[in-house]
Amino acid sequence: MEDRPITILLVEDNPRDVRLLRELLKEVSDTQFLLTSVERLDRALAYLAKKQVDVILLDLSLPDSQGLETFTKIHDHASATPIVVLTGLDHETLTHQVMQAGAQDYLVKGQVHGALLMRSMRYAIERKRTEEDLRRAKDELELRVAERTAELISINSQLQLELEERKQIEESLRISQARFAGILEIADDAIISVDTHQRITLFNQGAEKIFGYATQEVLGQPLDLLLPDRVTKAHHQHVVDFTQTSGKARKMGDRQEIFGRRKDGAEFPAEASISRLNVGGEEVFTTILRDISDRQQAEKALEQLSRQNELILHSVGEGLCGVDLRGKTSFINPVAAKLLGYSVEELLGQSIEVLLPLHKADGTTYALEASPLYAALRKGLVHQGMDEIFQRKNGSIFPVEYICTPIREQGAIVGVVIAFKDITERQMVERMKDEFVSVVSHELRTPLTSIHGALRMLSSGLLDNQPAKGKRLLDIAVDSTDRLVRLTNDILDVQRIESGKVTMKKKVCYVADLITQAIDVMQAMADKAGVTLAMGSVSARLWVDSDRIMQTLTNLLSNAIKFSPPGARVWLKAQEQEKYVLFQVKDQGRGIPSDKLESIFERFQQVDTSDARNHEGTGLGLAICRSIVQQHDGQIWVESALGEGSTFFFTLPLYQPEARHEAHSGN
Amino acid sequence: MKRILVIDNEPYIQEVTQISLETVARWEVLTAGSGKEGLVVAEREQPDAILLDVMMPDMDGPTTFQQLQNNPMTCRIPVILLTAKVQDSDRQRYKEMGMTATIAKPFDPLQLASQITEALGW
Repeated sequence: MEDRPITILLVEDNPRDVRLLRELLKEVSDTQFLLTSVERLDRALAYLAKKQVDVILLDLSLPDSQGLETFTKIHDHASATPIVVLTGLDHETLTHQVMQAGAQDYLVKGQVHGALLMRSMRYAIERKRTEEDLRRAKDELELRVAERTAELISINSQLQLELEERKQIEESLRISQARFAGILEIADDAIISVDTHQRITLFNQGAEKIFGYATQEVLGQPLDLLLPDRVTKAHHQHVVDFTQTSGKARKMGDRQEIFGRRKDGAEFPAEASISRLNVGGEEVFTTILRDISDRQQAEKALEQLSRQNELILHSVGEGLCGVDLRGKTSFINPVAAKLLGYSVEELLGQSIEVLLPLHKADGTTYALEASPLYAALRKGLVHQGMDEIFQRKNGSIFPVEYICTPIREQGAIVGVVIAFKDITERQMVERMKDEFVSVVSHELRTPLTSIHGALRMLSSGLLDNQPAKGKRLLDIAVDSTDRLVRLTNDILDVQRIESGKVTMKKKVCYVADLITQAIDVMQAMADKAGVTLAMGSVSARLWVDSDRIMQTLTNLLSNAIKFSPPGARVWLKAQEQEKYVLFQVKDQGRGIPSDKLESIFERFQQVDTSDARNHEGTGLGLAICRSIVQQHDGQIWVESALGEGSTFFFTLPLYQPEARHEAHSGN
Repeated sequence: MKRILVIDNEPYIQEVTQISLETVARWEVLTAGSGKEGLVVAEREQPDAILLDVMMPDMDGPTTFQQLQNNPMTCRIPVILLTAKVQDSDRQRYKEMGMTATIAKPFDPLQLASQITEALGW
């Protein structure tokens, strides 16, 4: 303020007073003044509207305003400007009023001097400034208080909101906890928590049910209580390992099969997972455990069933092939694959058309749609194929018998199973049987024809006067009857031995005895044929049916004698080998063609069928010999050179005392 | 008098057949014990008819028949098959082959001659 002059508005209508005041101000030499005077209130107001002054010197009696009103109007217009009122001596009340209304000071006209005026104005200015400062400070303070209040209100409502939220969270948490606790309790699985010392801290109802302990019994107890002794050590190690795994705060262990121990000591297989949770700096391990005894039993049963099915599928003698509705193979057993010449893998998923019987038995082909198997697939009907043909991988065909059965699941047809078998062998056997019947029929009819013919001629009386022819016919009838009897006996014999219906009455026999007896029996026949019999024997013993071995030996000797020319020799020899005795019947007869060496042991397979008639054979002798030898676990064969003779060999096992029991019980 | 050749590997059947035809019909009967022998005898003796067995070793009846047919010297001789194997299918087959008739074994020796006579239209 000292740097610039003090601006003063003097509102005074008395020019003399104006002049006087100017004079007084000049006396104050240390201060510069800039004084503007107006004589009317309206001018003062107009001036103040345009300019600001440091102080107003105000005479209350103006031409256009009087008394307090003058002050009030000026003060309203320039409330920030200090006003010093100029009054007369008798204006004490008014003076008091204006001071109350806000005037800074008052000066009594006539008693004013320079210093007083100066001091009064300075004080006025200073007081006003202080007042203003105070007011501003107060305003500022109030503003701050208001701001702070607003802030507090905001914080308060924020806190209120947070409080509400917290309440809600707490409520949710309470519900969640209740729900969790409920789940924990009703869960069928055992939920068990342990602390870092492996003491049980949580044991739910599921755990109670599974382990048979009440919660109160186990809380605080070591977890080992629930484990079989043999696994506790391993379990401890497992927990240690798990503890040492770094990383996440919560980690589920891999599920693995373990064993638990119930209160009654019984062990049970379980499936469990372990997890850990850090709660307030302390690790809590929680195990969720399920008793899988029932499941394991069911799995075992299922596995067994599956194995059985697999076994059945693999062990049945028939080819089995599952086919779905698209005509693709869904399963196939090894037999089926083998019969068809494929591997199982090659056939799986293949179209059934690869094996469909597109060929009929007579060699003609079906259209695919006309194949009965295809029709069965389409209609889901059980179809039995008796006389059809399947094709192998290599294109060759074979006769089959099959049954095609629909697979139904919940009433709907989902495919078919084809069970088939290769009937090549059966057809062959049937053919052989037919042939055999045909041969037997022929063999029976032949002597029968002679008998019937001879007797019919004799009974007719036509030969009554030809006794020689009659006698001849009678001989034919008798011979043929003998042959028929032998044939019938042999057929029955071979059939019964081969089918095992005749039991071999085995006992200990000396080889030497058998050979001697056989020679004795055949000696007469040999003598008659002019054939010499020679023998060689061993002291070995056999475990055989002696009658049947005698039958074999005499049969072979009989053949040898029959086919030997007079003067020839027939040998019967035995030779002991490691486990067998080898018998040989050797002749010097005509020999056997090499292509007949095998077949002569078949029924009715003489080298020459006329032999049967010429030599009184039935064509079954060697077949019977073979059956007898085979029933004794031996082998029979022949070696021969045409024109030089034949040697029949057969083996019989040596008697072994330690094997006798078995043989006895077998008989 | 007719001359009949009996080809059969069964000596007793040969004999019974022979006695039957000789006694009942007073025919002359020639015999052969095999197909091969039969071919020779047939060509040499030129019989009026041949009674031929079916199941014979070495050369069976149908083969023997074919051989007889193939030989201009024997192809006109009527052949009657004498067989134990007489199913309808066989009978049909033999007929198609050109055989005159088939007589089943066991046959009636008293009727045999008349069966042959009838079959051959004698």
